[in-house]
Amino acid sequence: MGETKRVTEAELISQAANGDRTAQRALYDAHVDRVYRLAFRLAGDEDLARDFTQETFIRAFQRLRDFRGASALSTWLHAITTTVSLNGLRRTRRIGARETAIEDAESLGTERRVADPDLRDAIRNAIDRLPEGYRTVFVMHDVEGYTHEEIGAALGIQPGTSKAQLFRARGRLREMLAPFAGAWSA
Amino acid sequence: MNDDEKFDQWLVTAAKEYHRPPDDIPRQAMWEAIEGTLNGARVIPVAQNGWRRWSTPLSAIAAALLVAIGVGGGYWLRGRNEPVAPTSVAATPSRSPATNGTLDVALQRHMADAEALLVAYRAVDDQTDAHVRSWARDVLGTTRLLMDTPAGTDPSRRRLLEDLELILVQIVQLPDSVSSDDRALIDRSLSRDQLLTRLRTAIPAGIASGT
Repeated sequence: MGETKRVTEAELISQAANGDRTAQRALYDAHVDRVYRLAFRLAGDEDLARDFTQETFIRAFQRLRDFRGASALSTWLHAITTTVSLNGLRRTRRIGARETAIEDAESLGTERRVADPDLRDAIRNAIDRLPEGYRTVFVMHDVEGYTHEEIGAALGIQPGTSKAQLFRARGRLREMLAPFAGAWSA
Repeated sequence: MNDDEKFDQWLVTAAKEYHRPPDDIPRQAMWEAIEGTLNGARVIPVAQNGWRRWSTPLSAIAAALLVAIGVGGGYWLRGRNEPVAPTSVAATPSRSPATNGTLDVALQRHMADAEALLVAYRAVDDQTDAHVRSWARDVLGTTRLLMDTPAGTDPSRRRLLEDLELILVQIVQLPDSVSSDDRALIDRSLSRDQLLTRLRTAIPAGIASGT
């Protein structure tokens, strides 16, 4: 089953690299949700997330012949997504400038510990205040569930560096969220 | 469970709310924009933000100021009836009004460093040694830093830095035992983007690699 899927994606990649729009659309459909989620988590802004997602796929399709196949296509796409998003954010300097859709998060089953709006704002502000490298690793690992190997491949760093940055990010967050210590020590 | 573990566990749960994406992803609208670009149509960015709104007028103002200073300086020199010494103009890359001399020098040194790295990379045979990868990681970091400065806002420099960044990420990600295919693909990207040529064009004579 897995083998069949892999071959199918390999064929799609080959066709898409030759400009086959149907194959490109199939690859887009298969990966767009994860790419958009990552872009949105990093940008915190709907319009920017759309721009970054579009740019990611445009660059990917234009460079698909360079895809080595040594890693999964998703890993390669996420590397482009982080590059495009971080570059875009540096340009626009709009990290955390808009309200997020936290208020609409009713479908999550984790609400009871984060229901306090002050705490939610404090968490968001604390994450926004992390240095870019820490924030990126933290968002990819703790929020979106990437492994350190995937993060390393996407950011061009060693998995060990990713672990160290996550450790430091959590440490900084703990300092910044100290006034809310009761929320987790209870 | 100690306090650290409690905090980490709580944080992972709490942080799921951070920049939570909407449930409705605009898949079709994004695809149409992508397809339009791939078909050669111009794409209008969704995010019309402050930087984009102001960059063009600011560039125009900066260009106008430069012209005014040039013309005014000319009149001032003529008014003093002194012969104007011929100015020796070296062949330097185009200069963005937004950049200053220090950044220009830093950027040029970085370009020289990047060129030296790419030459070293090509000189290594089948294996890309750890030194080259470590060097590439350093250059990658500096490239990203420079992209965040006014020096990185000039469109042609920006494109050069972005192309350089992509190549560096590929080199950094190379495994210990590199296949000839891996190298061939990077080499092809290097040739297609004419990266070395563009780097050399951007480096004025006399600037040497800082390493």
